[in-house]
Amino acid sequence: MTSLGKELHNTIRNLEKLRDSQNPPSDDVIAKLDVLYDQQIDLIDAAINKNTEKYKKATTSMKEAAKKTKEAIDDLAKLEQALEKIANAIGKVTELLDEVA
Amino acid sequence: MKKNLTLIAGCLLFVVLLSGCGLTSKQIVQTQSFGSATENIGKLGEEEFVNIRNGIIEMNKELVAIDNTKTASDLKFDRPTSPEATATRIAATKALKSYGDLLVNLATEDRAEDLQKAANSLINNTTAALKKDLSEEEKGAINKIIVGFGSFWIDNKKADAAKEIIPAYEESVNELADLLAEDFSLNDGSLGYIKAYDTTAKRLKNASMRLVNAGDQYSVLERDHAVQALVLSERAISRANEISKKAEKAIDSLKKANTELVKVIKEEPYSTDDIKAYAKKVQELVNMFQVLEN
Repeated sequence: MTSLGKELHNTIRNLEKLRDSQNPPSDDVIAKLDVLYDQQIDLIDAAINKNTEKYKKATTSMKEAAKKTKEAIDDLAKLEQALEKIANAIGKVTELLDEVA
Repeated sequence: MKKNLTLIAGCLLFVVLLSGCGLTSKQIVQTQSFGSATENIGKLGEEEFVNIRNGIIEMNKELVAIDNTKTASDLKFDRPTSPEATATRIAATKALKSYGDLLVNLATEDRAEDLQKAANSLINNTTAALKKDLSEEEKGAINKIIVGFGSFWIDNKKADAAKEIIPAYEESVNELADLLAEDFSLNDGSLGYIKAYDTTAKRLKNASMRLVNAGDQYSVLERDHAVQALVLSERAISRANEISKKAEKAIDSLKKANTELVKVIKEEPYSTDDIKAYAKKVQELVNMFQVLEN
């Protein structure tokens, strides 16, 4: 089923072709076109408002993704704690060196 | 004691091998592609949503000036691109760009300096606690072992985070891309921002044609104003096509980069170079343990 937006677009296009074929273009055709353009703006207005809500949800989601990624980056700074554990294990090495010496 | 040393080295290396490589070079490259795609979308959003709204306002002002059938009720010059709708869209593209930037940071951030600082601090604390003088060679070996294992730890943390986050937000990125595609589409049935801009331009062109083609019914000044409006509308129609094409490319790149990124993050396709680099790191650690043994 063709959408209303598509039908309106096609009607406008056909009327534009008619206008452009006239020299000079008829006032009546120009006036009718103006009404149709206005109707198209109305349709677009409704669609934009509807999608604005969807954009808000998408923004929330992206901010959440960014927050998780930032947390992961900050986590890398917990390096010292991790290295301490590794160094404790490797610390056994110096005790062994003591034994050698 | 050589056996104990070898045992410790073996255990540590086993843990490292079990935890696997960090991000592969392909995964890092794909993350950068995604970052670049979100950067383009961010720019597109910041520039074009505002340009479209400003263009619509300018054209509507001209329309009301040249069309004497328009009245005070027609004085909503920014219709349908309200400040709230525009700001919401810009915020969305900025949030996407921020996510892309952070992902690239996560994948590519070089922590060598932090690693070295932490390793230095540990060695100094350890030798002070033991009240023992280690030779420079021994200190160097211990330092490299600590830095080496630290580097494995960082790589694994990065990979784990990326593998968790990227697939989780794949759908959200696609949904945002679809919303942007609608806003920048000039297809027959589309009802987005660029269509509003295009329609406003065509409406202005339509109104100006009535005056321009009216022969000597209007004064030179009136005709001049109408001609200016006609030129403005023609430029806007042409610009709408340019913006739409540019946006279509950027959005397409984003969707491809997103799909590809999720695919490579899940697949872990280690290249020969990845495996060689990993093996080299492990070998360096083994060599350091051998320095300490001798």
